[in-house]
Amino acid sequence: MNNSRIKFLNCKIIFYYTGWVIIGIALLMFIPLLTSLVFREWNPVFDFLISIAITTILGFLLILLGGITRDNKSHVQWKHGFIIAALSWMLLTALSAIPYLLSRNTNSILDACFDVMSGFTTTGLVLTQDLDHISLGLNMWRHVLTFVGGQGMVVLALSFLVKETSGAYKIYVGEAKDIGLVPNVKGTARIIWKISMVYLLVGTLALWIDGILIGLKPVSAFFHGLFMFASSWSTGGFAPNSQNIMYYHSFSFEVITIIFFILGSLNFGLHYAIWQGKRKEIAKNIETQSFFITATVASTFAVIALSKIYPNSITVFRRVIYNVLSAHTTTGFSNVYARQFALEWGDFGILIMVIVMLIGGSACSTAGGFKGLRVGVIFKSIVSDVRKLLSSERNVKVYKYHHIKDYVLEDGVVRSSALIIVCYMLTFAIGTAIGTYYGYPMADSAFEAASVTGNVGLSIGITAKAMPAMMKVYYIIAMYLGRLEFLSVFALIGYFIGGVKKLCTKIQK
Amino acid sequence: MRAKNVIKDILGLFFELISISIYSAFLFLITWLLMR
Repeated sequence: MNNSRIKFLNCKIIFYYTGWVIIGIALLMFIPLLTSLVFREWNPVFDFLISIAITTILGFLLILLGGITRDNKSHVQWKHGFIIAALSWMLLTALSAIPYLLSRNTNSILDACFDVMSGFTTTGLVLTQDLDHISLGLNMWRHVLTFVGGQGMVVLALSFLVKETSGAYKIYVGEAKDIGLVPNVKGTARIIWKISMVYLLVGTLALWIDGILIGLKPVSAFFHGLFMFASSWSTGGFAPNSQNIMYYHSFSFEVITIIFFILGSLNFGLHYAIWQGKRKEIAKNIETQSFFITATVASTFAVIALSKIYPNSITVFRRVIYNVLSAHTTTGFSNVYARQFALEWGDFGILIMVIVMLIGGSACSTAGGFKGLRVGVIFKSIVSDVRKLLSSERNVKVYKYHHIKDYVLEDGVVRSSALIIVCYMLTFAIGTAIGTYYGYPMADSAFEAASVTGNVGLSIGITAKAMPAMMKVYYIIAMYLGRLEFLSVFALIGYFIGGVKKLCTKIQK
Repeated sequence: MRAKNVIKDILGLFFELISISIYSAFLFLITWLLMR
C-alpha cells in the first residue's frame, strides 16, 4: 500500500469509530430528555432535542466520511486505538457541553466544558451555577456523564453499537482499561456493565430507602439515591445540590456511600473474580493490599493529627475518615466546607490528602490517580532489588506479584509503572506551579492540582467561576490526561505533529 | 446452570458488600481507639 493510501485509511478508521462513539452519546441524551419530558420541564426538553440533533448529524457525518469496509476493519492498529480514544473524549466533551450552555447555568463555553470533563473523568469539580435550582433533566445528564465516564464511554459505544469489534481491544486499552475478563472485548464490556447495573439497582435501593428514612419525599429520595449512587460507584463526586453530601446531614447516608465508593474504586477484574467464586482474591490481590495498607495508614495519621479539632470518635470518623477515603478512592464527596481544609486541617492534613489523592484507586476501575497497582509494583521492585543486593550472586530468584493471577515482576512492568507515576507527578507539579503563579498559597495550589490530576474532585476553594481562565484550561487538560493515563493523548499529539511536519515538508518542496 | 450463575453472582455481591462494611467498621474501631 502506498503512503497516501495508508494515510487515507488511517483517517477513515479514526472517523468511522469516532462517529459511532458520538452516536453513542446522542443516544444517552435520550435519558435526560425523557426525564425532562416526564417532569414537564419544557425548556430542557428543547435543549436536549437540539443537542441530540447536532450530535447525531456530526456522528453520522463522521461515519459516512469513514465509510469503512469489511476489509479495512482488520487494519485497526494500536495507534488508531489510542487516537480514537483521545479524539472521542475531546469531541464528546464539546458535544456534551451543549445542554449545559443552552440551560444558561454556566457562564461560558469554557465553564461548560470544564463541568463536562469533570463529569466524564469522574472528577466532580463543579462550575455550574445555582446547582440547587437546575432542572432535573440537566441533573440527570450530569450524573449520566459521570456514571458512563466511569465505566468507559468509548468501550460502551463500540461494544454495543459496532458489530465487528476485531480492533476494539486497541481502542479499549486507549481508554486506559487494559483488562480482558473474557477473550473478546464485547464480552468484557458486557461483564463490566452487568456488574455496574447490579450495583446500580442495589445501591439506588439502599440510598432511596435511607433517603425516605431521613425525611426526603419518596420521588425526591429516589432521584437523590440514584444520583448519589451514580457518583459513589463511578467515584465521581457530583451531587444534585451545592452542599454535596453535607446536604443530607446523615451518618447512615455517609456510611452507605463509603461502601459504594470503595467498591467502585476496586478493579472490575477483582469484582468478576469474586463473583466467579474466587473470594480469596480480595486479600491476595496486590491492588487491594496496597489500597487497604495506604488507606489505613493515611486514616490513622489523619485521625492522630486532627483529633484535637473534633470532639468525639463519631465526628472524627465522619469528618476525617470519610474525607480521607473519599480522596483515596478519588470520589470527591466532602462533608466539610472547602475552606475548612485550609483553615482547620493545617499543612499536615493537606499533605495526607494530597498523597492519597495522587495514589487513587485501582487500575481498570472507575477511580483515578496513579493507582494502587503501580504503587504495589514499585514497592515490590524496591524490595526485590534490596533482596538481590543482599543475596548471593549465584542465587537467581524470580519475583512475582498477584493481580487476579500471578505475574513475573519484569523490568518492563516496573519501567512503565514508574513512567506513568512520573507523568502524574509532572502534571501535578505544573498544576501547583500555575496555582502559585496566580497568587494562591502553595498548600492550596497543591491540593487543587492533586485533586484534578487524580480525578478526585475535592476542592480547597480555588475552583470557582472567578478563577483565571488559564487555570480552568490547565485543569481540563490535567483531568483529561489523568483519566486517559497520558499515552492516548500523547499518541494524538504525536499524530497531529507528524501530520503538520509532513505538510510543512510538502509545502517547502 | 443459569440459576446457579445468578446465585453465584448474588453471593459474590454480598461477599463484597460485607467485606467493605467490615473494613469500614475496622476504620471506625481504629478511630474509637485513638480517640479514647
